[in-house]
Amino acid sequence: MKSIDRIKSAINFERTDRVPVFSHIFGFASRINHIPLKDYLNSGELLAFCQLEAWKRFGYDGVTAFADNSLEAEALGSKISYENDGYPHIYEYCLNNIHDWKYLSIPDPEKDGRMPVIIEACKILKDEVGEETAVVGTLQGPMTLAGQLLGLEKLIYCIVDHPEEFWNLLNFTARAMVIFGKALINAGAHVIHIFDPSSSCSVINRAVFSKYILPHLKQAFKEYKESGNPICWLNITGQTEPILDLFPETGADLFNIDYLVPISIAMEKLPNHCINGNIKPFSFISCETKDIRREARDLLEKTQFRKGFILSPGCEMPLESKISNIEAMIKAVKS
Amino acid sequence: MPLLHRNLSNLTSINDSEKKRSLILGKMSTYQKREIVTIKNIKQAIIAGENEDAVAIANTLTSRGIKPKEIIIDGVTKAMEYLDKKCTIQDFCLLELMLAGRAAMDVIDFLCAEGIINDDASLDSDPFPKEKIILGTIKGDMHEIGKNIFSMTMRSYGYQVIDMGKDVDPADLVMSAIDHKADFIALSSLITTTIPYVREVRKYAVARGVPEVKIIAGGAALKQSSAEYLNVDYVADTVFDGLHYIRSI
Repeated sequence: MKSIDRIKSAINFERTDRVPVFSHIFGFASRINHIPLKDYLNSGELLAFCQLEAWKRFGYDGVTAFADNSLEAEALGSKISYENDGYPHIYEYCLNNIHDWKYLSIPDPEKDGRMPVIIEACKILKDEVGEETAVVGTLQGPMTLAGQLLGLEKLIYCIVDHPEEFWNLLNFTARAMVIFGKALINAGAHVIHIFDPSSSCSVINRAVFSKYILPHLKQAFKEYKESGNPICWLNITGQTEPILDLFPETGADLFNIDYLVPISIAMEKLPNHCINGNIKPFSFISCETKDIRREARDLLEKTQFRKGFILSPGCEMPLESKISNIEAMIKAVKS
Repeated sequence: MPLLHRNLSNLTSINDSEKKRSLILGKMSTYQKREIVTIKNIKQAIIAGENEDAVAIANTLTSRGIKPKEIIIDGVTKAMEYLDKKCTIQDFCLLELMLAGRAAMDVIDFLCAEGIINDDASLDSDPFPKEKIILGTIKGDMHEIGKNIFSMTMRSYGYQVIDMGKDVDPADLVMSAIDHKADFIALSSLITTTIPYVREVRKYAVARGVPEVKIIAGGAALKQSSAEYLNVDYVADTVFDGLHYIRSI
């Protein structure tokens, strides 16, 4: 069975030859290929090369066109810097106050910042893997991107101090997300993966999610479906238990569950939707192979009668992960 | 479900400090006219994230002779204790805690600004805790929200917090602990790549002759780990978990 068919079957709760597995390997792909992370994040060719090599090495079910969380914000004018072969951080937000969102323009994915890097990587990945495995295009969700433009602390206060402008800014970031997502679909992405950790209940509550975030996610996934019918994947890391029941309203096909949410709760709240998760990411650094094997088997046992399940870490594979631990996770679905 | 227990509409037009000050003065006038205003009202305003109301009530109470220490202990701290019980690992919301923290800090800052209490140091007397905490986001990380929430919470309980900011070198945290004769070093990080620096804090503390200083780690990345792995005394799941640890020492 091809990876792409395996994933589609899991999403449709159909029989598969084995449980699909995602690695959430992003920057880690540069480490195992001995490429400086900054180079990986700034070259579509290098990014695609490292993703393909990692995929061939471990044999999981997808490759990802994604650089880092500040890519879209940088394209909109936030200033970033790189240090110590880590991901870049924003040292100057492009918005001084929330009212200035109106002076921003929706970025052009073919021209602005490093967006063209990701578009190029996506095209190369699609050319190389064809319909063999899933090409995942990852982009920041509206709340997370808004936080990268204004600073999350300021943004949170704006929810109550300037709710209308908060809504307006989210409208803007959601539009930018839709345009970038459509460009990724045109570049060959099979899966559109919205990553929005700042929308979790670790940051905002159910009421704010329901009123401000949900409508934007719903609209975005609707437009993606109309633009090539990709698999739509929502990934809100952190605590999401209080909002899991709202997820189906987004229209996405697949939902990432972080390690903070017990998989049994996610299965109960999302009985008819495919979920993926949720090995604790830090375990890939600190634990031994036997621990990862046990954690993976435990998840596979709990989900064995469900069908709609994909094994994965709860969030990104940390840059310092042990290779043997990644192999142990993959082996769990193949043995 | 309400976003929070507050009326949002009257705040949307406030976009400068002058307007904000006018609003607080207006609220002060309202509370001054009320016969019954109690410290419990401050607690309620803080929990609801109503910072202007909390300050206006504090002003009314001090003008009626209520001691600032009572306002802090029975108003500010009690509000934070309520949130402590509410904010479990499963039910922790940054939004609510930040708004309450802002209201709590606004009350404390008001008491300082009006000269009702001098500064944080004036809290260094019974019944306030005497422990000092050196706080920082560890080297290699620029995320400050977790650190700022911890600072607000600890200050609300009367602790003296020396905030070193973000991207702080482990050696600087230890030197600051020596300079301020601090009892605790609290460090935060959202990312795993900082862990080598977290582990260095203990080494510097021992090398500099302050092995007794307690080291607490917190933040999204670090809380997935263990105290043993990070070479610290305690890993806090939440700010209140960190508070409980400090109070237990």
